[in-house]
Amino acid sequence: MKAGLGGFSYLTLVSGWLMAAVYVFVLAGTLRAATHGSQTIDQGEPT
Amino acid sequence: MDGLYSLRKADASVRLAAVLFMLVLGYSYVFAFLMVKDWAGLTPARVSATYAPQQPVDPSALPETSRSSTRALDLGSMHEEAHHVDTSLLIQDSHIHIMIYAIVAALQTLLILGLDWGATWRNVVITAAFGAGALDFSGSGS
Repeated sequence: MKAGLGGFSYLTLVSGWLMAAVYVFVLAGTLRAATHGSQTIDQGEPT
Repeated sequence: MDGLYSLRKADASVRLAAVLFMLVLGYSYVFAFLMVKDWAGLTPARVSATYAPQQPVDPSALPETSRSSTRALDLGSMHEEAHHVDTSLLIQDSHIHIMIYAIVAALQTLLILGLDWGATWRNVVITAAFGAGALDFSGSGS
């Protein structure tokens, strides 16, 4: 086993958890925006 | 506080597409987690063992003659071999994985720009979205 590989393995694991954390925050924000969004229907420009 | 636009005020179809994208992305992450758990490991020690360089065979250590014999095979006594990845072949994975990470991070950024987050938090999450993908292969390709 290469000596320096252990430290880099932490980086690989950190990247996975970081990716999961980003996903959770963006999902929460997206769901919040989607469920509390405007209920109005765009009727287009008034004629 | 809005970034590029307001997802909250966007058309219902835009919000539907945003939610569906995130849900299907999460669906793929479930399989990614299972694959990493089974084939790469969830601890630094297992990741190191998976991507550790293999020791080359020393020809001088091999016997000059060999013998063969037949023995009964006991399947119950066999231990499961740890999965190992040849790091010299990782370029086949990394070039496509990192590109997909960048595309997913860009799509997530499009959603982040529509959320009512503060500018600092927005920039932190955008940086994390791109940084996580860039870090992923740092442990296995070095």
